[in-house]
Amino acid sequence: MQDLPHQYNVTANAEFDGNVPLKVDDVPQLVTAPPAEFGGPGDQWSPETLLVGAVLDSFIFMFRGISRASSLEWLNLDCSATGAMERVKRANCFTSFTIRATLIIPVDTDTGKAQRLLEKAQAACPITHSLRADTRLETEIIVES
Amino acid sequence: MQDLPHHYRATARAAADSHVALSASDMPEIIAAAPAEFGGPGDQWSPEHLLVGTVANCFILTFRAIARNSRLDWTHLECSPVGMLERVDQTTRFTQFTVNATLTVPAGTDTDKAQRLLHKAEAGCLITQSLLADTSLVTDIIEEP
Repeated sequence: MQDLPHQYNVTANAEFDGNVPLKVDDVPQLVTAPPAEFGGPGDQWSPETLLVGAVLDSFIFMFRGISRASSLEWLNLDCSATGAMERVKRANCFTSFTIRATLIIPVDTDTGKAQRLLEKAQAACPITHSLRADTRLETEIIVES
Repeated sequence: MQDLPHHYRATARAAADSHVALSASDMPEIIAAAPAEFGGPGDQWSPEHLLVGTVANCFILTFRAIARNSRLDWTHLECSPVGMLERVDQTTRFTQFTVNATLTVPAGTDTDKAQRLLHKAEAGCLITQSLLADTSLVTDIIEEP
């Protein structure tokens, strides 16, 4: 890991109407639009869904790093996250996030250790630490038969 | 706009060593990886870039709605935020976003009004309202010849 602080930059360009492409150096362009909830088309990533996606991605990469450092073997991690947006003090903002993680591990793996590392990943996630809202983690650990 | 609260959902799937496939209802899949700063390949969307991207995206979509309501004519808006990730109180989180916005308006446009609406968009962006970090806005308004 490069020494902190890090600086991350993204550029977006928009006309009066139409989708908004996001660009970062060599990364494939990401097309965005308002969500269906705000009258958008609903078939492109919106700021709201991207934020939920960032929470989820960050949790997964954190778990991957922590499990590697702790020599925990695992096969698959399927996750979903939901972010609730509400009106608080005359402003719309996210008030809670729930991450549901299903981890598949080989037989003879320590499920208690797997559970602890999932919780540790959630507690260390830089994206959720950057948010005002609380994040709740629900886990399911499946031992491969 | 649909009545609040809204619930936004995303899902992700990962194996122990692979990119993460991020999806949400009908939206195109995003392949995500750790950023170069954390030892990733640097050629895919990372959680950190997604978070900075949501700030850009949200600022533009908020400005678009405010400008429409205020009957401000404009032709192009480039938004390029920089997010600062630091270690604070034993946690790693984003502490500061600098939102650089360049707005192009037709000749004869009230540039003071344009400036006010850019600041209103920054104050009303639901993503920055959901973040702990401070946000500062740097604007440049270009009048078309």
